Amino acid sequence: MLATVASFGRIGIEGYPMRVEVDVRDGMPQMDVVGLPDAAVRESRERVRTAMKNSGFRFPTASITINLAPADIKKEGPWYDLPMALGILAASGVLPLQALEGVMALGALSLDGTVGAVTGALPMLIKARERKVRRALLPAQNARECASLSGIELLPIETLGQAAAYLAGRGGLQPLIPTPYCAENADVPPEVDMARIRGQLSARRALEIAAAGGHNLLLIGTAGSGKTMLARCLPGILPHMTEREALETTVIHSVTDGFSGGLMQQRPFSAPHHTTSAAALIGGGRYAMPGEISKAHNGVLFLDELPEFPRPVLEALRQPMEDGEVTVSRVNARCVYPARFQLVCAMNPCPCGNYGSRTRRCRCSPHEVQRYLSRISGPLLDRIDMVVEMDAVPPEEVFAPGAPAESSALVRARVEKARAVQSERYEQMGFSCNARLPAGRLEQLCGATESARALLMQCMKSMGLSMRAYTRVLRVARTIADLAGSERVEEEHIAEAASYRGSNEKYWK
Amino acid sequence: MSGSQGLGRIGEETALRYLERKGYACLGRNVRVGKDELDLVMRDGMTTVFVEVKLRRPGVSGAEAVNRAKRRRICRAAVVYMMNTGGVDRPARFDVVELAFDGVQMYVHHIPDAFPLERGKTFV
Repeated sequence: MLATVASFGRIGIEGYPMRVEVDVRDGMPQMDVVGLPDAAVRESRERVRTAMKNSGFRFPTASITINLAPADIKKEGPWYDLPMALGILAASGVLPLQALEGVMALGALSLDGTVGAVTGALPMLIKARERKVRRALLPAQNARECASLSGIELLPIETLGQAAAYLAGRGGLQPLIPTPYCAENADVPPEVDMARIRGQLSARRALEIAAAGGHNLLLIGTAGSGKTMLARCLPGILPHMTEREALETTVIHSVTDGFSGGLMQQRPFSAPHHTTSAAALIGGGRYAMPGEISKAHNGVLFLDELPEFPRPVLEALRQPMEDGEVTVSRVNARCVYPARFQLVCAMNPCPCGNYGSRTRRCRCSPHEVQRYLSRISGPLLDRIDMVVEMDAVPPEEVFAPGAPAESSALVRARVEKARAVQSERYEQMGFSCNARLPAGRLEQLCGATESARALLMQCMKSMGLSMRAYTRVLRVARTIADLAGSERVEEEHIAEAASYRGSNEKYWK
Repeated sequence: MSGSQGLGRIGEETALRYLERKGYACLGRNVRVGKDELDLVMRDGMTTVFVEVKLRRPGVSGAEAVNRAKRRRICRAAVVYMMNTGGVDRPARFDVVELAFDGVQMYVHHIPDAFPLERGKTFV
């Protein structure tokens, strides 16, 4: 007899519908799996056989052929164990054939019949919902990850026996009640609170501006001045994710990290080490998996010790930074992954780390300093809106009595406000923050006053700013104005914005 | 050597009687297919059962002694047998009967559906 079980596969972060067709007929006892299975799928034979026996079912002594359709896409992973087992039960008459209608199943099986988690369940179920699948049997371990999906009945299962009993009409399964995403629920304490940062007022201010406008930021400072700690504060002051953003980000993490606990609440903070390869950063591997930049989608990509990154790795960032997505092509797959991240970099000003310090002496020759700085290419620097210098906080400031610094929650409230102004201004334009403001519409949308414009002209001349630098300054000025609640960009906003260009000129001119 | 073979003969006899008591019908004993041999070919209802009889020596499980190479030989012979007697689209099964002899008595352990069709490089 022939039975078909609906299931879903995925390529990258895209789900696709597939069918597990099971044919059980008289003949030599054997089980064949066709449809481009990889090693993990071929091994399903042994898992399914043993799991069925250990769940109290008789494994049919018959010739079994299983086809994973469409047969031209390579199937990976152990996630079709459960649909295979259910198909065998239906095709050998243990389950009624019509029980499989409108149901999809996903899940690995362990030898005792327990259903194990699926990597990347979320994108598959999103596709299932699109395809109007009514009910989905999925591993209980994946339930929380997918709980925000409504419009599809999710049935979390623990064992093969449970799934079979449910399909045989004996019930016993509670459909998951969808828990919609709510940004306010997302108020988890940040990893590092800004209240813990002593001094560094100008750097704090710069971080707030970067958060409010989504600007890329470079922190240059002596060793131990708190660059890394400051950068780690950023996710805690970024605005809450919208449901769509949360879903997009969780889908990527569902594929790369396996099952997770619910939709992601905090914006991701991805901090790859400087020995990371270009493929790990951009995406790659046999199945063209997402890289660190996609894991940082809607969040922060933090590159600590920027000059230590190999040049080709840094240059690979340029295209995805422009486009907000990256195409990864490999033999087995070609995938497009979103990569709209905010880049935060930290670096020492010179090999010894003391160049420009007020208190410590630099041991490097000018040539050494120059060579160190020149590891960062001009085009990459051009894509960084703000450069901020940091120096070690003097001890009297560290141990000064007084109220602690502002907490992340307070800063975030201001950031949220500034972002709300921006998303209202850019409604229906396809972008939502100042950093994404296209150069062509900058003049029209930023609303600078005459005097502000005049000051900017003057800055361009005296600082020798390029046209690209000019647009960067204007964008940052727009954010500063938004933070100040000003409708137009005034002189003072331009002046502050230009100051974040100053260190750029100091080090790289 | 001849003693061991004699014991094997007794073992096969015991297994046959055991399966016949279970209601199986004997289709053949020591069936030669080319250079391979099937110990017992029985019929259980509609199913053709190929039985490998294994005499257990102290310390070694008889079922364990049916290794992959041995299974392949049995399967190869079984497919040819099925083709010669009416086609492979009929229910079939591979059983192992494990025997232990403690000097006085013969103990029988029957493992139905002990292994699935094993496919080597020699046939499809």
